[in-house]
Amino acid sequence: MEPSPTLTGHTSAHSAAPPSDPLDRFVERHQKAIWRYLRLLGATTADADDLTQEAFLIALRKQVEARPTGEAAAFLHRTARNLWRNRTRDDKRRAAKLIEVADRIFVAELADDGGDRWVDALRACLSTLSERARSAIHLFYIDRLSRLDIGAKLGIRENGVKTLLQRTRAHLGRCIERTIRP
Amino acid sequence: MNAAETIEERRFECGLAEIEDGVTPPDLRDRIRTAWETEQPGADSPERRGLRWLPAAALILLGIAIVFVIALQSDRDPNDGTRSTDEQRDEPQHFDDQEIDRGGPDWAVVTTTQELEALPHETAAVMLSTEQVEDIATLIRRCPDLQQLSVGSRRLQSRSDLTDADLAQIATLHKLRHLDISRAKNITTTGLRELRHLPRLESLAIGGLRFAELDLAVLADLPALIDLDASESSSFDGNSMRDVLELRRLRALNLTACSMIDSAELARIAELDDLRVLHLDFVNGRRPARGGRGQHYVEGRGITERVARSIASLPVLETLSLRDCRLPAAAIRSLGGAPRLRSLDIGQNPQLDDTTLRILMSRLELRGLGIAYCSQISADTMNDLADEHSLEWLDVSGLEWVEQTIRERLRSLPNLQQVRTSLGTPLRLLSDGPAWIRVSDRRDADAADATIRFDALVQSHDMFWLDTTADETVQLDTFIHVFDPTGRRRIKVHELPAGTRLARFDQFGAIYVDSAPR
Repeated sequence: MEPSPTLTGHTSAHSAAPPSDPLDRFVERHQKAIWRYLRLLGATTADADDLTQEAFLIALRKQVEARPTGEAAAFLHRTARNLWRNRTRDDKRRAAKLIEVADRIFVAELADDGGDRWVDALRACLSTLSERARSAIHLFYIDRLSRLDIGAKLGIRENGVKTLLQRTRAHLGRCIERTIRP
Repeated sequence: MNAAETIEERRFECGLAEIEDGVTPPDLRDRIRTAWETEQPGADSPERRGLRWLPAAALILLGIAIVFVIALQSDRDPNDGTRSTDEQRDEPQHFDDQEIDRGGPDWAVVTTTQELEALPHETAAVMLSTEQVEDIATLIRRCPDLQQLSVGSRRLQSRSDLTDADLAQIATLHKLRHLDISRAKNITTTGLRELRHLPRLESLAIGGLRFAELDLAVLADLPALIDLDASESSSFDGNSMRDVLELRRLRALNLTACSMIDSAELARIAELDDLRVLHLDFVNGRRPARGGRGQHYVEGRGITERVARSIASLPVLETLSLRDCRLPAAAIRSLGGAPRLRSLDIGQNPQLDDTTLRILMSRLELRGLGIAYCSQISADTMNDLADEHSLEWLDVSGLEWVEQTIRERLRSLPNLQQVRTSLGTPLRLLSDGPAWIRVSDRRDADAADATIRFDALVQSHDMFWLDTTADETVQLDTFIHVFDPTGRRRIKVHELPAGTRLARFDQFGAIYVDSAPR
């Protein structure tokens, strides 16, 4: 896959050939999982960049790159979680609940392939949506419009937007589940 | 939304951002390599480092064994490189009265020179009373790794005699992330300018400074500042606000009770488009009249509809507090346009009525709502609120008609963790197991500390109720504050009868006893 430009000016973590340097191999193997995990917890892209870097630096100080892959992933996961706990402004109990849920996702779907399979499944499932559902999803999540404004654009009532979004999310959830675990 | 729904929502949001907006995980290899090489000048790659260390394998194994033993003894995970402050707090510290603080670090409270001299070298957070301790240099020498420092805490109720020279010394604490210098009236622009030497300073509290004589533009030189608290400042005016509006990186801003800000400046708040948290309580246009005798006020304009629209246009605003702002109904309705608002406190605004609240709730998916003392809200609306399944906290204090049935119904909401009705109503059980607290009197060096065991820790409003066991009389031999209907007084208590209720007011840190039997 070609490196793709991003809004933050970064390139995608994919590369054509595996890196030969151990540090590069170590970072490339785990960086997507850690970055996506931090984003799940609520980190902005800038915060996710910073905390991922910090987690890897701590790991390098501890020579974690020499450990088996699973063990290294677990170390980076724990370290990123603690760095986020120190950074977040969420209420302590709320943060603990969010972390618990995100941890389950990390173990089930991020640790192995960095979450690529889930994103690919979402991409495939988006193509199964109707034009109106896809527009609503785009306007809500990407353009960040309110339901009222989305309703005005799509010509439906606010409650209709709410229902449409709920149904679309449910459809996507089922579709992704079928794609990942056929 | 509960935690699972929140995470699922974020997952969709991040996934879509990757697919449709190209916000994919970055390649951090170069960045991490550069940081690693900067950190370890002359460091070898991991591969070469491994070879170099081969001859020293025996020593390393020995070192690992020692570290492992130490880690076991200190109950630390030897595989983990870092520990969160939360985890550190969660360790058994049954006899630390800081245990019942909500959030925040484990503050070391320093009110005497002796306490200052006894501070451990690795102390990270200090709350300092400058009334008793004037020697900032000693503090800096003892705790060079300080991350959080409060010298203007209202909790200690001490005045702050901090000077520009003190700030220059504080500016050498390069790990400092949070600094509270509230009420330090001697500080000038020169002192504030020194703070630019603090590369990690994220949070700064400067409420009560002499803003009329300060040039807040110097705060723009603080490289990491994202959280500013200038609350309760009667001299914070339009000029101060204009300087703050230049701090475009701000994520949190607290201007509670800054009554001299005009609506014209407030309407520009949308320029701070990275704001997540905004507190404008008591900014209601009412300001003290100059030269007037007694309590004379000039009525101005506070949060107008235009200001509310500006606030609602903040793209990532999540928490908003506008208590007692005399909000017009149109302004309240405008807040419904805030795209990311999750927590809203609009208590003590008499213009809020059932219709306005319904409109607001139909546009927002709130996790928290405060409508305390909004006398036009009726029981009908409360029934509607009971269907808001996303609510996690709700403040309906001062609404006397909140009947028991409605209260019970609200409490049955799946995500609701906290309901505030009226003061003293204990509703939130924090711990139903044993809890401990140390009661000590810092002003009486001879008073012995006493430890008390409680069976329940219940939070209500800003108080923590600590219930003693029903059949146990607690021996106590120290000074405490007694608070009962006859007033507040400091007495020496020898024992607490079984069933006595203790409450601790969080903001002052003092311990009060409700002497009325249960």
